[in-house]
Amino acid sequence: MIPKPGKPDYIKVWAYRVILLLDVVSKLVEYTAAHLISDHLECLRGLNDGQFGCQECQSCVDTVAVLINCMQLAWGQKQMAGALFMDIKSAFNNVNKTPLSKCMQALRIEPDLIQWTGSFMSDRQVKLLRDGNLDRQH
Amino acid sequence: MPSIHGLSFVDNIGWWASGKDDEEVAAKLSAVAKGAVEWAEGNRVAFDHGKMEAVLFHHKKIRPTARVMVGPNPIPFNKEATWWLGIWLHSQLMLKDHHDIQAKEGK
Repeated sequence: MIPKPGKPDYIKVWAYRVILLLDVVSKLVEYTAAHLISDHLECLRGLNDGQFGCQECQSCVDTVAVLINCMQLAWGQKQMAGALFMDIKSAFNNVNKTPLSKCMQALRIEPDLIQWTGSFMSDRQVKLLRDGNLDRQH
Repeated sequence: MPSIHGLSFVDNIGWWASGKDDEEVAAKLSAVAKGAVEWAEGNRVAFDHGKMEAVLFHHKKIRPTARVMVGPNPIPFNKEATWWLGIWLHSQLMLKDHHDIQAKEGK
């Protein structure tokens, strides 16, 4: 785990950036599954038009460029423009398997991929190595 | 909701709205924030209030007094540049702040 700069309390686990060390086969399977789901959603246009994440050739910079363009269009109409930025708290840690599975079914994702995703999120164990010391297994 | 638009990158969400003044923009953003918070509650997720930021984009240097309400929490429009998705956004849409800050960090 790498400490994030400027955090007030380094006792807390979220003060660290975690480097996840999966074995190579797991990494390949995870990457392939993510790619298949992403391709399917792109073909189906299953994601909201405003969602730029997990899509080919769309980056953070593209998202900001679209925002800037929208602001400039508003200015062109003699309007003021404002934005509100929100962040989902611990989004990845708090994904609930049941609604996710239902959502994937509604998007007609292959049943095998839905099952694999459920399995991937089940019975996970992690060992934390902090300052060279191995913490207990979680 | 008409005249309010959303952009997102995975779990980072940006809503934007336009209006004749900061009060109107803040009111529109407050309305969309209310809907977003209700959606979050229905989907067992929560927004990180500490990371919420509002920014008013305008040509001239003005000091907006309106605030965006997210539930009971008022979010004032930032006076300084706002960091979103790795870019420092200046209220006048200049990238000078981004350039200066990144150059300073790179030294």
